[in-house]
Amino acid sequence: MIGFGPADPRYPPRLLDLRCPPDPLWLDGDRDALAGRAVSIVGTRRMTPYGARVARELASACARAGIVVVSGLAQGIDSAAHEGALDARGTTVAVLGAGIASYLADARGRRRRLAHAIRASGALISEFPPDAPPQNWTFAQRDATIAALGALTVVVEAPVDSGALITADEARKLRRPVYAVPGPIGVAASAGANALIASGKAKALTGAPMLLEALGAAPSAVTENRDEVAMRVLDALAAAPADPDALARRLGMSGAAFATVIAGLLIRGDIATTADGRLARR
Amino acid sequence: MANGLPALVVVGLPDAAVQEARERVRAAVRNSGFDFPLRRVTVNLAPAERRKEGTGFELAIALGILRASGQLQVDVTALCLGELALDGALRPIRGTMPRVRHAAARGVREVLAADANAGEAAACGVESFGFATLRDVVEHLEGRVRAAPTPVPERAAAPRHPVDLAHIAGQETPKRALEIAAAGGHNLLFVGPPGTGKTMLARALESILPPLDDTEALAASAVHSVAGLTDPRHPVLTARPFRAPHHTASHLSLVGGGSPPRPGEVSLAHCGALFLDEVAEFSRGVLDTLREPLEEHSITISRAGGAATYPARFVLVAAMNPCPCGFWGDAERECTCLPEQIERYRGKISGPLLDRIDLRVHVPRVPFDRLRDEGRERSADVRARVAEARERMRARLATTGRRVNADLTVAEVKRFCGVNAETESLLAEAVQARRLSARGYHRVLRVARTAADLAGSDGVRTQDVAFALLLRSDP
Repeated sequence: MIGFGPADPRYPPRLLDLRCPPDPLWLDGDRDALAGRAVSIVGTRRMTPYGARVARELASACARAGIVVVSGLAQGIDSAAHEGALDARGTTVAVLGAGIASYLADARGRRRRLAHAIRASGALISEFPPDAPPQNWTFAQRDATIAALGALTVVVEAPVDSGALITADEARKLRRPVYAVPGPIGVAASAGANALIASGKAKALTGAPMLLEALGAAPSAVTENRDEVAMRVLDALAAAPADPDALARRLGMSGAAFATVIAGLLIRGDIATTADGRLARR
Repeated sequence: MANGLPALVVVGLPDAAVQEARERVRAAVRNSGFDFPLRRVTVNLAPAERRKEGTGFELAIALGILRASGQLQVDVTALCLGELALDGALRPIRGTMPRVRHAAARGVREVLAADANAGEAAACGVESFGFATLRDVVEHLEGRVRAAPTPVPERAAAPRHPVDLAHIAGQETPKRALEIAAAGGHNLLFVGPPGTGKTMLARALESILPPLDDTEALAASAVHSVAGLTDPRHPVLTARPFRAPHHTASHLSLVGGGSPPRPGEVSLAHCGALFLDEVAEFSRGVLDTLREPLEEHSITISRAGGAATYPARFVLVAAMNPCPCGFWGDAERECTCLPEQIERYRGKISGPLLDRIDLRVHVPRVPFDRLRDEGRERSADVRARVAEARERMRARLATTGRRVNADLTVAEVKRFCGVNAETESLLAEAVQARRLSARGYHRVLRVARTAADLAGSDGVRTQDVAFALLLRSDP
């Protein structure tokens, strides 16, 4: 673990836009992780399966295009974004709301595994001394750091009182573009994100290609040739996971033919079964 | 019997109930019109190092004393089972059936027991006589009043099952999973929001399990006999047992225990099904104890007084909500759980337990307009198909000692579950891309074998593998 100040040549210049840049900034992992182009992806802890898929998909697309994915390693959208980047073997940076040593000492289970995976292929950073415990105000302050690290900020699902909206606010103060993923009307997890769009504070994000274009990256041209039925399955699963019976009805298929199509997609990894036994896009 | 102060001594590691037998035997002998010898009587229970439990020895002790004191003139070669009341009446005991089966296997051909137990003994294929009092037993033995052997009790009529598959609207995939579980002995997990009918579906399993064959019926009935759950009029089970312990069950009640060790729910479900509703609400320690019965198909309970092994071959059906509040991913209600809460909740059934579950199925809420759809298949028809599939399995697995596809070893999967080259290469691709573990691969093939058996197909077809992939439990 190292700590360095704004005078250090490795200090990310984007942080200098902040009114009071973190000094020193603590880092554990790859020191060059902060050098590349970066995007901040944030959102609620209480995500829906839709939010999980979108966060993962956006992060993977960015990571494949060589863009660093920055987020806050909270439960929910933050973790999904980090995992998406790791899946695509990209670089991802987690900005912690506590000291790095303190966080690693407290984290258990899956959160701990994720933190170590991020440290191995990116970096954990914090503006707080290694042993500082997390407190309410530390999270608000690190939200500003997340906003400053990304060339732009994406809010994937946020309810009206979400901490992700603080990140969006900070990004606006820094005059960085803010994008929000629109969600269905009436779903609490998307109310804050939708309000950002409605008030003009954020642009509606329509998909990974739009994000890559905004970041000035070429979309990785891996559009596969799938047959028509497979496309219909993926379309039907775009909004939310579905149970096999409902999906079969929607496609007007049944029995062996349906199972064969689904099994093909499962094997190729285009779709997966969720923990509650439904089918979801990956 | 020896000279000395009048006393009755029982040796050979008797437990408290056997010690108390002294008083009952003494009173029963006197009250039946015999003399209790005024000498020192020593009853030796052999083998001496084995602990003796329960009240079943009293009839034998009393007859032994009568014979030794010359009040009974003939030798007794029958197995004598029964507890004595102070007035000389003969009372039924628990566990008649396994005792008789054990004795019959060692050449005993005749059993004397209390009236209520005689049917149980007769069902084990020995000549069985039932009596009301000790006096009646002696009269019978000395040939003054010959009792008629108890007839083999009739099987109870096939039970009516509370839930029929035809009662359940929609849910094609969960029903199909039930059918596969019933036919192939695959363990099954239902996941879905509250109120979607997981419990009802699981209960319907009872109605499609194949009929019990004779060996299975006796094995399952013997466990019920030990637990004291036998119906004296119909001691032999006619339907496969279906046990549904509540989620507050302790591990003793689930796998058995106590001293003397009594069978638990897993053994009472032997040859049938064990249903764990709200499986994530069971305590983790309790779920961990399921590991041995799921792997060994039996459970050994060791206590200071000795170990007991009970059979426990059952189909496990578990049901749970997708998260603590139950509405994760629900289209109509918002879930209020944090991701880590959900993970902890699901973690309850991860690891060793999930490893033994072949099928995981989502049970969705059925839209209102589909609640009235007609043309649903009845349990009786499905059951016939399941029985046919079991027959195919039996014929195929005759040389292997296994009964159902769920028990196939890796080598047997290779032997019996061959698929065509195209399907094989698809599966190999999935394994290589780590989308399917080696364990998952074999599991898919076992389930596919059952799907093919249900369809009456000799080979495992691509579509069977496809169904198995759709229903598999590991992510």
